[in-house]
Amino acid sequence: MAIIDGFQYLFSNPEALFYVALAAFLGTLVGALPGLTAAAAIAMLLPLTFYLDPLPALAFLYVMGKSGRFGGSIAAIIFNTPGTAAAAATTLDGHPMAKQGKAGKALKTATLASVFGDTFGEMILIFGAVYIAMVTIKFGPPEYFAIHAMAFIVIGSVIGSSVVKGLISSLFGILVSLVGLDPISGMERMTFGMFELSSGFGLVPVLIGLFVFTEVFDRLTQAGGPSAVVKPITDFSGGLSKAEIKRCVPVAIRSSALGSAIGLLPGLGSSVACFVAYGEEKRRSKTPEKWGTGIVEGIAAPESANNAVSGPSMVPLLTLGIPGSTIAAILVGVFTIHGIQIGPSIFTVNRELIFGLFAAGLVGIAMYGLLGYFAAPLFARVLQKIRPEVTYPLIFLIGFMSAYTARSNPFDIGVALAFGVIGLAMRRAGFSAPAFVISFVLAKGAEEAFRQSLLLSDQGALIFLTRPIALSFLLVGLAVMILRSWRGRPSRSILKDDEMGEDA
Amino acid sequence: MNINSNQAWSVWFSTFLLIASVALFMDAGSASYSRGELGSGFLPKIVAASLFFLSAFNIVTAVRATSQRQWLPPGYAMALVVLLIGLLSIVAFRQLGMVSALLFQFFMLFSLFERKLSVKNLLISIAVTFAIHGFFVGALGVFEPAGRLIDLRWIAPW
Repeated sequence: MAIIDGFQYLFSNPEALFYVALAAFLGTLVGALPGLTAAAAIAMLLPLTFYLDPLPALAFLYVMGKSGRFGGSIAAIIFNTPGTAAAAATTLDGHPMAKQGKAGKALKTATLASVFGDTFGEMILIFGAVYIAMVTIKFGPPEYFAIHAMAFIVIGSVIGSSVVKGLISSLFGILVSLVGLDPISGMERMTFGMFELSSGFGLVPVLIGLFVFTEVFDRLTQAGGPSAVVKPITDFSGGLSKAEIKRCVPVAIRSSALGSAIGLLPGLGSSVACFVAYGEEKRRSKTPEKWGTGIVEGIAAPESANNAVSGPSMVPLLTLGIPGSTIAAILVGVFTIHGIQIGPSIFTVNRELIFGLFAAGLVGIAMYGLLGYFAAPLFARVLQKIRPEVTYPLIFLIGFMSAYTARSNPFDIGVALAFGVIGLAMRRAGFSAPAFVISFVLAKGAEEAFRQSLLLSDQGALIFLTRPIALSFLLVGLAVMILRSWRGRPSRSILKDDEMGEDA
Repeated sequence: MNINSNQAWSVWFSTFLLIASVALFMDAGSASYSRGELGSGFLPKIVAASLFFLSAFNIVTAVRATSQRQWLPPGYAMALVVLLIGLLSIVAFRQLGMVSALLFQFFMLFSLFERKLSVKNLLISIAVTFAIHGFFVGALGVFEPAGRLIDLRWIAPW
C-alpha cells in the first residue's frame, strides 16, 4: 500500500520527523493563545520553510494546522475564548465544565475527540483522494478554468455576511494577485511604474498583514484594550469514566463523518463544522436541556467535527488544485516555492512525497494527542500567566521580521502594514479575508488556464459552454450564488463572519 | 458592534475599492483580443470593472441602511496611530537596523496596549532605542543583523 511507502519515506527522514514534532508542539501552543490563529502562525513561519526540503516544509505546516485546531480547544475551555474559530462551539460546554472543577476531564475529552476526528478525516484523504484524482487527471484547461471560476463564485458566496461582500472580497483578491508582470508577454501591468511591484505582491507579506497585523490592530482598537479578566482555573484533575467514553463514541463517529463531508467542500471549514455537529448532536440527544451546562458530549461533538475537516480539506487542493481553506491556500504557496505542481498528477509524479505527507499527518496527530492528554494542563497553567500586553507586541514583531525575511525586501514590510489596515477595514466592514486570500492564491492559475483555453479554441470563450464538464462547474457556481442570495445569511451569533473559511 | 459603525466602515472600504479599481483599470495595459491571444490587461480590466460596480452597489446599500450620520468609524484614530508606528518602524529599520526597529515597535505597542501612550513615552522609547543601538554599534562594534550601521547624516548633516 502506498501509505506504507509514505511511512517508510517519512521515517527515513529524521529532519521531517523533527519538524512534525515541532509543529505538534508549536501548533498546540499557538492555537491555545487567544488572538493568534494557526493561519497567522503558519504565515509567520512560512519563510522558515523556504530553506527546508519539501517533505519537512509541507509536513511542518500541515501538522501545525492540525495541532492548531486542537490547541484552540484549550483556550476555549480555560478562557472561554476560542483560540481558533474552529473551537468556538467548544466554549459552550468546555468552559462550564472547567468552572465546575472538571477542567482535566474537559481537556482530555477534547484531546481524544480531536485525535479521533482527525484520524477519521485523514483516512478519507488517504483512501479517497487517489480515486478522485483518477477522474480529474483527464481535465483540460477549460475544465480547470471553470473549476477556478466556480471556486471564486462559491467561496465568495458562502463565506461572509453577504454574497455581494463575499464576491467583492474574491474580486479584490484576484485583482491584487494580477499586479506585476504578465506571465506570457512579460509586460508590466498595474504597477504604476513602481519597480518593487514588478514581481507582484508577495504571498507572505499579504498573509502577515491580513492575519497577523489585522489581529493586533483589531485588539488595539477595541474599547478598553485586549485584557479580559478571567478567574484562573487551577484544578486540572479528573478524567473520563468508561460510561462517558461509551457515550462519546457514537457522537464522535457521527460528528467526524459530518466534519469530513464539510471538509470536502471548499470554503466552509472547521468553523462551520463545529457548530453544525454541535447542533445536530443536541437535536438528536435525549437530554438536550443538558447541553451547554458542561457535558462531555458537548465537547466531543464539535472537537471531532472540526478536526475531521483537516484531511478532507486537502482533497480539492490535491485533486483539483483548489484550496478549500486559508491553510490549504498557504500550502499552495509552499508547493509552488518547491516547484511542485498541484493537481491530480501529484499522485504519480510526487507519489512518495504526498504519501509521506499523509504519514506525517498521522504521526502529527499521535504527537499532539499525547501532548494534549498529558501536558494540556501545563499549557493551560502557563498561558494563564501570559499578559496580552506582552503577547501582542511580540506577535507584531515576529510578523514584522517574517514579512521582511520572505524576500529580504523592506517594501514587503510596507505591504504587510498596508494589508494590516486593509484587513482591519475588511473585518469591521464585514468583508472576508479568507475569500480574499483563496482568490489571491488561485488567480494566476485561473488566468493561465483561461488563456490556454482560448489558444486551444476556435470558438473563443464559447469553449467554456461547449465542453459539458466545464459548463457544469460554471452552472454549479452560479446555482450556489443564486441559492445563497435567495436564502440569505444563516443565523450564527457567536461566530464572526470573517472567521468562516479560516479553518483554524 | 452596532449596525451604524459597521456600515461606516463598509462605506469607507467600498470607496477605497472603488478608487482602487479605477486606478488599476487605467494602468492594466492593453485589453486586446485577437485570434485567441489576450492582451495583458484583458482579465484585469474585467475584474476591475466588476469590482467597481459591486463596490458602488455596496456603497449605495450601506448608505441606505445607515439611519444615523456616523461617518467616522470607531477605532479609526487608533488604526491611524498604529499605522504611524509601523511607518516609523520602517524608517527605524532603514536607518538603524532590524534590532532597533523591533525594540522601538515593542516599546510603542506595549505603551499602546497599556493605554499609556504619550509624548513623554514616545521620546523615552526613541531615546532607549538609540541608546541600545549605540551600545551595539559603539561599544561592541557589532553590525546589526540587517547589516546596517546608523547613518548620522540625516540627523547631523555637518
